[in-house]
Amino acid sequence: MSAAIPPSQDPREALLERAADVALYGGGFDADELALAAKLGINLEHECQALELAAAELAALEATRDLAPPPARLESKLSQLSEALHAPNPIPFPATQQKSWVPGVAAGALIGVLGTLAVLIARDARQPQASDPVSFVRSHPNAVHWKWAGTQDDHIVGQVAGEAYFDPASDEGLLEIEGLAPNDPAREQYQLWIFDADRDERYPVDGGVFDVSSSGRVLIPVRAHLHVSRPVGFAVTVEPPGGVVVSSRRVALLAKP
Amino acid sequence: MQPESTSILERVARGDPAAPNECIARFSGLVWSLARKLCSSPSDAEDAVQEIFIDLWKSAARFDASIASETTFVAMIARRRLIDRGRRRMRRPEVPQIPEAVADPTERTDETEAGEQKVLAQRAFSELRPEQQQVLQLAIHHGLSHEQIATATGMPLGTVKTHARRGLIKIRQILAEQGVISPEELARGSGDSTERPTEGRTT
Repeated sequence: MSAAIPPSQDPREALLERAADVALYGGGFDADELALAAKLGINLEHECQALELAAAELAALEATRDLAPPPARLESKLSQLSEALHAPNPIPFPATQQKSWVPGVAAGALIGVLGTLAVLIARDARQPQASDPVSFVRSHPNAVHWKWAGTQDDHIVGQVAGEAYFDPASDEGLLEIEGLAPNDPAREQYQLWIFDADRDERYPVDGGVFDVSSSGRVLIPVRAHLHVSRPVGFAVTVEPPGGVVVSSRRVALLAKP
Repeated sequence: MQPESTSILERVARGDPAAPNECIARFSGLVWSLARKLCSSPSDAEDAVQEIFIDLWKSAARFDASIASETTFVAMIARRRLIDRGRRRMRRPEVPQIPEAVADPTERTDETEAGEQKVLAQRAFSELRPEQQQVLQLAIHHGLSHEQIATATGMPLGTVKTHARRGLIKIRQILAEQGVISPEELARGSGDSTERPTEGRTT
């Protein structure tokens, strides 16, 4: 959003124009602009924030002209979200604090925090085109992919193998999993959680539920409707059919760099 | 500055268990309305509303009633998130049909309870020049960029920017005089109350 100030323009005017620009469209100031503002005695942040408040006031004014209640399902989602977010004593997810992700330890650390955004993802979302890791990586060259590690959960059968693939550009992913026990969808399902560096690490994004019908290698396509800009880890939990808002805390698989 | 009678956000920040749901009940209509205007689809708007409430609850402790009302604070957080989403996806909303004339806000029917603050904001907006009203309506309510506004209205780009800046400054001055927002409190070091939750100013 930043732009060089043309030599022909009055610097003070140009800076105030930039403040209005940032107030209206977001973004930020570059170091040169801040330095010039300091030299001219302009508090650019203050100017911008005051203008942003004015813009917010106008936005609120316009919004209240045709105020309509949100859809009932959205209100329900918000209530669920509130309940999950404000549950007592949430335990921080240590995605950025821990050097290594030791199965069991990480599972404990996830207790009580895997849940918040379940409602934000469609369970039967549009699926990515790729059906195997090679074609997925070929069609998503910037995708991240990390190996799975199993926990002590009894849904781990044999050697865990495979990787989680995810492309933030398209919000599509592919789970390649080996070593996860087949589940009875009538009793329980697996649920994917995606940790995003741009979000509060306590509240991973729900990647939807899936089933495993055989103990061999399975491929599960993923598509997040909520944007995950910087994925930093994945977890698979065992949940009641349909998935949950607040996790049952049974972590089966983990993947991170 | 006239703080609203019950500060739900302060109660959210204090951990009052009833406050988050009251926050939803009070502001979900406002946030939904803002999201519908700036999102590309209803489902996108629903996702945005949920993100906005997460931001709102996390930012509740930064609300300062001496700087702005709760409604203004909520609208500011909502706009930031909506702008962030638009920037993240590297797209602007579709250019809407430009109204033949900018409607006079004082002439519109408003079935909601007209609070004093809303009346003051309407008056402030009506004091702007018609060109400034048009530019700010297209920028704030329709999410159009300066360039899109210039294309849609036929105004030179520099003129659009000038109208946007002067219009906002005028609104700010009028609202400050009326005590709706308090830039003076902001300048006294309470700037943290309006710190962007997801994006730093400095690039």
